[in-house]
Amino acid sequence: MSEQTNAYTAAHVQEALARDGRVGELGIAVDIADGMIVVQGVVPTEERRAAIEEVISEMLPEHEIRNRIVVEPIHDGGEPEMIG
Amino acid sequence: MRIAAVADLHFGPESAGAYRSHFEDLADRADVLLLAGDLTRVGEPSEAQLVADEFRDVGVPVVAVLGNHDFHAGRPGAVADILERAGIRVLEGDTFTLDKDGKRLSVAGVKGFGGGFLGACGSEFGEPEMKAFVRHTHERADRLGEALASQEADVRVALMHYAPVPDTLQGERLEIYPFLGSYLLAEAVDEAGADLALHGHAHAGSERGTTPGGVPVRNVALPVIGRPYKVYCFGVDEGCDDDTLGTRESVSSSASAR
Repeated sequence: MSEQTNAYTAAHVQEALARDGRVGELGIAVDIADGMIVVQGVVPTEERRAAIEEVISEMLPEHEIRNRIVVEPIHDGGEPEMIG
Repeated sequence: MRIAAVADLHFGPESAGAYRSHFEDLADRADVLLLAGDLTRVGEPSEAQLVADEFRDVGVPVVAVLGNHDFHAGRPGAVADILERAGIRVLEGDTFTLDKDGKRLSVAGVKGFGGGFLGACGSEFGEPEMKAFVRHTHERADRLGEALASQEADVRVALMHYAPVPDTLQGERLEIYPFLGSYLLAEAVDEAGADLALHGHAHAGSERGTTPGGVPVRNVALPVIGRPYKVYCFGVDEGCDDDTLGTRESVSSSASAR
């Protein structure tokens, strides 16, 4: 695919990741080059991370996926702030 | 008054029980829990049920607004009903009031919407779709202002999903600011007066900002605060100076117009 086609395809993947009910994530960065798709972003669970790969595999089965999605860890405690 | 808040939990089937242990001692740390939208992954009623089950017994009143994710499946009414049945108050242009130790907290909530910020925002001009977009923001902001102005309270909080100021979007791409919030929300807050404005939606944003009128704004999106909730305190003798709760920072609020 040309660089121009890659850019459009990346945008369509990004749109699919927002619309697909298995993912529903709007903040995922998608880059495509040389048959490789690189996805980056932060999601709340491992399952959501896996679903991103699943959706992309269905759309572009011939592409290799580099999944750089990070699962946001839930730390304990809520540090207070005095407002008034 | 101690106000715990978080946004953008994005509950899906795999999220059940994920937060329960983190909220076990919430009642020792806060008087109320505010959820600033995007409670569900894509707004399915089944996801709302998981949220309801997670927060029905946290020991303090739970108050929420919906976010754009909670609208995606086209069933925001069902989502709100499920949460309400679990005792979670869902605000959209109305208020929640809590009286505690002789002090009154009033929370006015709306989803809000986008449109952009001063000097770079949409207008009700041109195509019907563009007019409808900006009109929706005007309507949400008007309802927020009316709700804020309708209550007398010692502490007044504006709860919304979309951002009222660009300060708390620092870290997001500038190109998407108009989809992340609107100055109309800040204008409503400043005109009606509030002690604190809370929002979510901007996962890559930053926590702290201020309206042009001086009201503290906090982005409590889960990826921003990095904790299951953040506690904001009003009044030094009400448990906020407990060392076990961690550090705190003093921020003055000077814009309350009561």
